[in-house]
Amino acid sequence: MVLFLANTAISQGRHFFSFDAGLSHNHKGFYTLYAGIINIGGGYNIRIIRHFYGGVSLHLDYFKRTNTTAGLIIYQPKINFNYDIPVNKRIDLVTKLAGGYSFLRNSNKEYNYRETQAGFNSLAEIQVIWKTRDKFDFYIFGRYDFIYLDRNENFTRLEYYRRVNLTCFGLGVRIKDN
Amino acid sequence: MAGILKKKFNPARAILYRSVLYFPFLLQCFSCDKEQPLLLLDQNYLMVADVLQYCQGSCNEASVWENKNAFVKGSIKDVESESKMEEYFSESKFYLQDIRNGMYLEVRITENKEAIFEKIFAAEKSDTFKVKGMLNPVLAMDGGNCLKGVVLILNHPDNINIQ
Repeated sequence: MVLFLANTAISQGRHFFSFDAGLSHNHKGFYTLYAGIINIGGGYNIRIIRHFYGGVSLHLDYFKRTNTTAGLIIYQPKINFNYDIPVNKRIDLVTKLAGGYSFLRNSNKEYNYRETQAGFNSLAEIQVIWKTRDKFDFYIFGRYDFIYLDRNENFTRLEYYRRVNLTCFGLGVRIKDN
Repeated sequence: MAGILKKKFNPARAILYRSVLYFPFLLQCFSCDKEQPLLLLDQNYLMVADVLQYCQGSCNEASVWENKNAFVKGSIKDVESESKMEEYFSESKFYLQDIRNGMYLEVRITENKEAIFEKIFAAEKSDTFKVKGMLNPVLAMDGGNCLKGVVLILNHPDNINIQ
């Protein structure tokens, strides 16, 4: 057993790319009638010290209103920081915090309507990573996004509608340098 | 020992870590602190979604918006459906819709029904209507809970116009 563990010891990479996809969910607020279809995105991170990584990411969220031509795409560029907590040789628990500025592209073809809102975006995420000896590590994640839209009285006069709360659960892959 | 500890502590790094850690929570708190000011319902045209969210409240007490005049804008729901519009005509009502998120507000017509619907029938689907009316509360039961919502009372064709 000890020999097995020694053989499967996996080193921390200096940098990695990550790609993930999941199911998004919108909670109340202005877009309450929209259902989450998919969240996809990726990022690049470099090691700052030991288990602490920093990097950039870009995610896209796609929402749709059932039986209509109305859709919502959220573009989420962010700067993020990850802290990998080793659980054992094969599994890491990762806590991730990020901040950025998001763009919400709302459209309804039926009415020829198109509009973009934007606002600061913060994120908290937990990943469980399954480490391999190859270039790829795999993970499951759960994330919470909070977007606070810029003031725009033509869009809404309500504080309540300026707050967008999103959650997402899915799968991802890390591509390491080793 | 004290010397070793002092050497290891890096204030810049500590500030960086803390900023990163607290940023999402600071952003949350910053937005939560902002209270909703009272809306001026009859000075600017409000979107349907704003009116629906703002005009809620407890069933046991009167809300500030009740029986106040309001300016609301939105699209007429189902305007392309002849059968739906006939149904609305017979029930003296129509729905004003917010095309951005799909929410809609019931508009009840108390007088001048023919003249008001004449304007609506002439409209196209993509037209935005500006409506001046009075906000009336409506109560509904939802699994034992009382919910207060709103309908807009319209009584004159001059109070509905295409934008």
